[in-house]
Amino acid sequence: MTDEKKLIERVLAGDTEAFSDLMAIHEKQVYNLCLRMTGHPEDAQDLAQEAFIKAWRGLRFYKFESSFSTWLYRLASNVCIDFLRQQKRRAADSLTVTGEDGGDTELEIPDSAPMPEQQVTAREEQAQIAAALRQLDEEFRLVLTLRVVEDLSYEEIGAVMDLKPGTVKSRIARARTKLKKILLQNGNFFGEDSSNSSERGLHREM
Amino acid sequence: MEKIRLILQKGGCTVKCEDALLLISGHIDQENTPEEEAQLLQHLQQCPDCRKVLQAFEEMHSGLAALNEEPPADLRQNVMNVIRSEVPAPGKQSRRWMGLAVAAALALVIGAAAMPKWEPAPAEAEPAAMSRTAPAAEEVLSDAVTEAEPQALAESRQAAVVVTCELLPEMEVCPCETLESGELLYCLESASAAGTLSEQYGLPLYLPSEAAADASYALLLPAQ
Repeated sequence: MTDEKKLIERVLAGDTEAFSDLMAIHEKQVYNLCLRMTGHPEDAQDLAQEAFIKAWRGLRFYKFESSFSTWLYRLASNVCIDFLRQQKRRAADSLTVTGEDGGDTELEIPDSAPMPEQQVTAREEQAQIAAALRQLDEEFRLVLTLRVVEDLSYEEIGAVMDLKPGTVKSRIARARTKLKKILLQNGNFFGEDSSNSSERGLHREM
Repeated sequence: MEKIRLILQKGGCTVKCEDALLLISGHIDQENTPEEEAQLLQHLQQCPDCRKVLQAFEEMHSGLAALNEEPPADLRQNVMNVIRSEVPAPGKQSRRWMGLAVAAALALVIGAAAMPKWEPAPAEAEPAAMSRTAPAAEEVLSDAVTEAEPQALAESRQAAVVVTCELLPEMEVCPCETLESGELLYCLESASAAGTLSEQYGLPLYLPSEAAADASYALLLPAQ
């Protein structure tokens, strides 16, 4: 971590090229965050680049209090959320339907014919879960991505999203519940029938 | 294990499926307290539905965790291209210093004739003379501003400006702004601070030609 701190100080002192080394440390994580949030590699690249440019311009406001990745994730998360909200407002070329919860979801056009049960390959599974993640509301999508894809703790997520760890915990639980429901609706993800009655108590949470 | 057995023996409160959900999620994230783990274990022993939920959540978890792409090869390069275009190229500095001296000299010479330009032009007073000299001075000074020439900064902000190539400790705590040219301008604590730094570190100091400075700044040029 001290190496990173030195890098940051070098950038602040005017060593622009040092920023490239700083990016190398966080590039993959920031890109994957944007990719999970938007679902499109081109958008993800644009947003990741935007996040890094904002980080460079605002680097003097990084106070070394939180960890640099927390600061960077917060910046990148905001870039993604802003983008998604703008997208929603424009609602351009995509087909949208109003989901039962009142939110908008894009119709997923399947790439291939539906697979018979129990023959879904790992790659298919990945595509399905990525698609299902995109159907979650942004706040759920963000919190799950930070937890599972970025491997942040509840406390770190709390620092990024300005939430208490307890709130993070319950939001993740609700996000998982919703994700499971979406996967069941889309079909074929779970090996055997996992639908069960323990969900009935949760409906009022959603 | 021993601790969990003790907790179970004490007969912790029975957990409803609704609450178990939170515990299942926490278990997967390894964020439960030992008490919560014990409660969960006790509930799962009696509830096949929640065991199925746990299994489903675990499958989702590994599915999500596997989503890990490599970033595009040109991502960093694209960012650096933008950043570099906002910062003057290294080596340009020496040319800027020379341009600075010339511009400063010109500003002093033309300054007297140009001064009226900064006030609202009187309707009749020497309009011909003013229109001849004012544009020339304006050209020199506005070029100077886009290059962040310290003298021009001192004039436009009525402030003392000290110029440095390194981030001095006194500057670190001060707010700074990024100028159009890409250099950083730090707003120092008092009007005399720039003068003090100039004396202390032997740095060039620029003062406004008319009136006393009522603020002071440090202009940070990028290192070579």
